[in-house]
Amino acid sequence: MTDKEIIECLRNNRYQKAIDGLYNVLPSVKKFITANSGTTDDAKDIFQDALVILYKKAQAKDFVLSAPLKTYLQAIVKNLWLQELRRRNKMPLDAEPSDLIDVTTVEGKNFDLAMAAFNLLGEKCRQLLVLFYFKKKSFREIASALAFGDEKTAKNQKYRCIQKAKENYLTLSTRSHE
Amino acid sequence: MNNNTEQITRYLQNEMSGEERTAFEKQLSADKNLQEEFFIQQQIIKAAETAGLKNEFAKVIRKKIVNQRLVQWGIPAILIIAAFVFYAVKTNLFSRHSAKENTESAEQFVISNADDTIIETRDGVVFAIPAHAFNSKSDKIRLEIKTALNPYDIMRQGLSTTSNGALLQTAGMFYLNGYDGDQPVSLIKEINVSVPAKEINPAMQLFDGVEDSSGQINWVNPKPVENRLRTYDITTLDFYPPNYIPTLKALQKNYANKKYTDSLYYSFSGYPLYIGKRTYDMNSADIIISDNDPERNEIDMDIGNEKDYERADTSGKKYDQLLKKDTAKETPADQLGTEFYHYEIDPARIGSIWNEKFNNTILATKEFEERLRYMHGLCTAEYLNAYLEGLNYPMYKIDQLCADNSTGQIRKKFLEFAARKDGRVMINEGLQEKLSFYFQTKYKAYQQAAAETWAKHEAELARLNAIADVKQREQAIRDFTRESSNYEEEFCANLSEAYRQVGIKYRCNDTIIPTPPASNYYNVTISTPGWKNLDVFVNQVTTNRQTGTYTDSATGETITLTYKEVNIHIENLADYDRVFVYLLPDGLNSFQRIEQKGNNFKEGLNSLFRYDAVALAYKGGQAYMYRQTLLQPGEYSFILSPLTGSELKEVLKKYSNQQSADLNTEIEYRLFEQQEFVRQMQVRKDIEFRQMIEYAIFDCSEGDVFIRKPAAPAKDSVKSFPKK
Repeated sequence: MTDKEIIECLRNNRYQKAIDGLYNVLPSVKKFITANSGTTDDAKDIFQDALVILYKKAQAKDFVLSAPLKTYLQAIVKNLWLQELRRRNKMPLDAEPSDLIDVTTVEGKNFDLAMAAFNLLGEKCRQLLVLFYFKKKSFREIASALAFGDEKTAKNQKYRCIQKAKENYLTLSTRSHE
Repeated sequence: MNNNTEQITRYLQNEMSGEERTAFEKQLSADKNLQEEFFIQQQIIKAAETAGLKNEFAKVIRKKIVNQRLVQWGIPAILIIAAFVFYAVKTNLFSRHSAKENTESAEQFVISNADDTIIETRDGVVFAIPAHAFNSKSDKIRLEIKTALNPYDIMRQGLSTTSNGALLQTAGMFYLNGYDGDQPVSLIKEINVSVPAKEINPAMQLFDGVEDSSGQINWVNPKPVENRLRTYDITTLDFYPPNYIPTLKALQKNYANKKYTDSLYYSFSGYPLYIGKRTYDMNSADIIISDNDPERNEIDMDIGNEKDYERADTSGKKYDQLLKKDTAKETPADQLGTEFYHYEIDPARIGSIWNEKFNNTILATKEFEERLRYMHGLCTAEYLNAYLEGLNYPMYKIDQLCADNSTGQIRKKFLEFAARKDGRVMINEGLQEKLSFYFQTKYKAYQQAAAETWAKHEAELARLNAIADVKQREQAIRDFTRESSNYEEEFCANLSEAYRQVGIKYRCNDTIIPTPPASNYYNVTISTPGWKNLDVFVNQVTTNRQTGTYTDSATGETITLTYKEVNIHIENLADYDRVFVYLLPDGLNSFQRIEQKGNNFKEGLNSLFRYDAVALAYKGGQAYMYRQTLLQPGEYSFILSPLTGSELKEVLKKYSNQQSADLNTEIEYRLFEQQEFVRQMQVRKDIEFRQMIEYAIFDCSEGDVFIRKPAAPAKDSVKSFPKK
């Protein structure tokens, strides 16, 4: 598959096809991460995060690849991992981020906090919000999928989940300022 | 934080009116706190989207990893085992110590290389040797076997129990070599050896013996010894999701009847995650694929015999290709958004392995049963697939493989499983592939059978719905026609009466009868101005069915049209599913249905008519009736009794042709409606039942959510990506 085809797959949400084309990057990601204080689980996680960023980047109409896709993806991985290491206060001194891509600008300010706030939610809340915002399911379908009595309950539940996530966010942000 | 979640949600989801929107935007631009809250909410939504996207990627990657690992890992595992035995055979460790001892303690066997052979030594060590295990053209193979299980034997044969200088605790040693005549032959297949033991120590390992420079045997290359698994009749094991039978039990269903529980369970194959998609309001019911079902028998006939195995063998298709193709088709990962299935284990998968074909495999063990119960709660069939594809591997290796490909709690659980060192069940050469093929074929057949039964069921529901739709439409037209002609007739009677009271003879046909109020225009032409209001008055009275008085301004004459209320109470109203009360006025061609108001049926009776009343009620499939002749204004209480067809005919005879025909049609329709009502109730009950079962079967309690692990200690510098 050519880089262009992979980008096209990402734009059309054909995840499996796209990953078929990008999967061969994973071994190098594993080596890189495990050689730099990470575990293979970290590697898988960072690889997924990188795919998310690539996906989001690829959605932009004016997206132009400035390097081979594999290199580009590796650059994202590297920068994400440096960011993560910094977060864990384990930043090595001689590391320089790749200038191919600035991962911090993709998600906007404090997105880490939002992600953490989201992950702190209960399983059901996470499922509900993913179904609603990512899968674009109606409340009726969500009610059926998650065993809520009816649409109204699902809607109320969603409201509560958002509310809870916002509270989590604020708690986390005060804690990080302390 | 101020609580503006609802407002922000409504704004973001475009649920605000234009005005509200503008107001909100204005507030937003002025209020700093609101701005922050707005931003946070947007970020949370983005987080949800990102988490969903990441889950999708994680799923695809996990699938790929499992597939790849299985292919990679199969080949070296076999090589290692073969290499070890080969090594021991070649070095002939025992024999080098003393030729005399050698002949004394060695047991000799001659076996046929073309057959499977089981040998038990004097010490009780059992060797299971598959056909063609030795690389020899000759059929007769001479085996030399030595065993040393107790310290005396070990010392007598001059064997050490050290590994690189450290002492070993031994559970016994054995030696095996094969000869074609005097020539040693190598092993090309794996031999299973069982060494008797009083108790099993899970830490026990298998070592290879090599001679070091001083001629001592050093035990090296330890490999874990697996627990042999005991197999059971697979049909006596429980492969259902853990909540399934308890749910049926709680619902007081026949949970002990396996035929019933199986067919109900398998009917959930390929079940969409939300029900509304296939049929919107009348969806699922209890689909039973019974053994009497011709389709099912076809399946059994099609794939249940040996011929199919042969076909599989000669087709030249590798089963793992088959598997890959199948998994690719099954996971609609690249068409997400169009389909939305349960990610858990498809019941058809269970159906295809839960039968005697898989007896004597790792699947027919309590150990697998336990794992399967856990795997039902995972949101993917990946793990199950690993066990199915690894039928001829020790179970702990598959446990380990599953652990390697998961994180967090799931990883922990599989590591726990792996630590038990549960081993394998010996399985004949080639059987694995046959079983895999069988599994795939059967799996598809079950899926297809479930899909077909489902489609049939839905088609039948759709057909019944269509019939009900047509009947409902016809009834609506009849109601409309009857009500408008009733209105016209009653209006006409009232108008004639009004004219009569002012001394004018009038027959309805003299004038154009105003169309019912819904038409919005009156076509009445009267010569004197005073009478213009008359029609409006009569119209009002007829519509409201209440007594009205009208004084003509020109003549001073007063006209009165009288309606008096009747109030009918039905005994035990709540006991019936539905109740209808009809009036049969002598002045009208058809009947009139009284609307139910609260617990009573109230209507104004026109003093110009004489009325009979008929009350009909339905409960289940039974109709009930009461008739009141010469109904007078006031209070009534009707006690209904069960209705027979002939009784109804008798009653209807008493009325005009038109009235009895209309009423008959009405009753027929209501009877149909009642059946339809009963059917709908059943359908709804079925839906609820199936939903409960669905939640019991598909229980993603161990979600896919990624749990970030704590960091490993930092290293000095960041190394660059490995170059190719």
